[in-house]
Amino acid sequence: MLEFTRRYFAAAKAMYEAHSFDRTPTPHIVAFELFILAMAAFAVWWMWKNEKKGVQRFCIAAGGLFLHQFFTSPMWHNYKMGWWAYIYQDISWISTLAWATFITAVLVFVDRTLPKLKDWQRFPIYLALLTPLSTAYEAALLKLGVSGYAPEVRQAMSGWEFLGVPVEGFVYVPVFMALVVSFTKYWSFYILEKPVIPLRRRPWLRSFVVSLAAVLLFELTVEPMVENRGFPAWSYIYRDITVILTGSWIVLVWLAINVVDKFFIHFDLLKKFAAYLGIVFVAAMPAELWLMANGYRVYSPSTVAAFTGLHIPFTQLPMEVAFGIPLYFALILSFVKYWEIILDN
Amino acid sequence: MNFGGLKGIYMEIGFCLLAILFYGIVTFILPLAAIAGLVFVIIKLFKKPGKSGGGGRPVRSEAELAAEAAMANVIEEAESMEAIARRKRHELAEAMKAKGRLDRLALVYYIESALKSGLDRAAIAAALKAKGWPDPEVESAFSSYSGLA
Repeated sequence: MLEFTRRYFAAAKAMYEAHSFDRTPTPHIVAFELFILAMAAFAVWWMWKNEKKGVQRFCIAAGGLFLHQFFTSPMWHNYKMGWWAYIYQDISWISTLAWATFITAVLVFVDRTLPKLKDWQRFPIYLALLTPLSTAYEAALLKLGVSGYAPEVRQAMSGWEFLGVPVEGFVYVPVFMALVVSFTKYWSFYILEKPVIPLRRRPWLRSFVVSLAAVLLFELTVEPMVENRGFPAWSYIYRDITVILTGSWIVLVWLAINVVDKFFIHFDLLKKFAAYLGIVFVAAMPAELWLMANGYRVYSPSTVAAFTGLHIPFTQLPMEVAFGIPLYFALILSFVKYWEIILDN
Repeated sequence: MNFGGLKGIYMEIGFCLLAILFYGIVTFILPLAAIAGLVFVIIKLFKKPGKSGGGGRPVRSEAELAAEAAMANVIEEAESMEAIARRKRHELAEAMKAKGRLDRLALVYYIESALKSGLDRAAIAAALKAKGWPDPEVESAFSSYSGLA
């Protein structure tokens, strides 16, 4: 048992040391972290005092954020925040709290000040407030020398900046926020036991359009992480985004949602979500494995550098890719379902 | 104790430990659990014809039925209101599943959560009709729900 524990700790240590970077913070960074922590503590306290299941909703926002951070971490870096600030490689829990605070504050502010607006009308307002807030936060991190981007991401940038932040952020941030806001709202519906009306006839076409928007937008933002090679030339619509692969993910998401909603109409939001994710995962994992093995999906050097070297047994599928598939689809599925729920209720 | 030369265990190493543990769960324990679940489902499927409710149940004498009813009363009294509600809910779900009426079950669940959230019966009925549910279906769902309440 002791030998097993020793090996277990040694493996964890090796994983930790394989991703070493400068963690030493400056006094300004520490002050900034303390400010974020104070802001997050106040937000949690306020949510606890004033909102139904407020702390749980804050935690959902943080969870959604963490999924996104974990999945997209090879695209950027977060250095010099101090050894205490990191939970995995360069993903910082302090950063997760900062984003969760912004999202929770904006959602509560808009929901309280504009209660008469419908959910779909409030959604663009959330994004309109979150985008400048996020830009200011990113500008502060860049100024402090904490934030930076992977070479593949820098290569995809135009070079234009606003307040020191790449202008691509004005596309990336609303998309990333749209996914995390949808995730937060979907799970808030679940914990607040919001009644969700069952549909007699599924709106197949609308569902397809929402799935298309979700997958396409997300693919645009994570495009530098992986290169799609060897597809017919006509199928490429933007950089290496191919209509064959992206189209397949869209159809998969669309089918999973419609099959579950049709045949498991009585399931609650949690069970339905698990069923969507299960179907998508079972179909997407072997597909990803086959595409990787045959050279159609080539992960960028920064993404490969972040791999720990652990593989799914009997396959060459890295653990990060196997875990990344459900994380990626969890955000997309919650976006599609959130939009379906708010349009129907 | 110095595990493999490790002097201090910081949070990130803690997360690495969790990641390896999670990896072990996903790659070894989950597949085993899935196989066990599959075996359980297969066994349940083979057992079902003998003990399914409604038509499949063996015919019992009046005395047996009376004794069963008396026993059910005793049990019911002993149970809390919450447990009774839970049992009724389960029985309703099983009955609807047996009839293949999952759509009606979904309506009953919706009615339950909509009433809890403060909507009145008329508003709920109007919302359901607006989504294409026929009147008799909505009324049946309300009467099924009243058996739960």
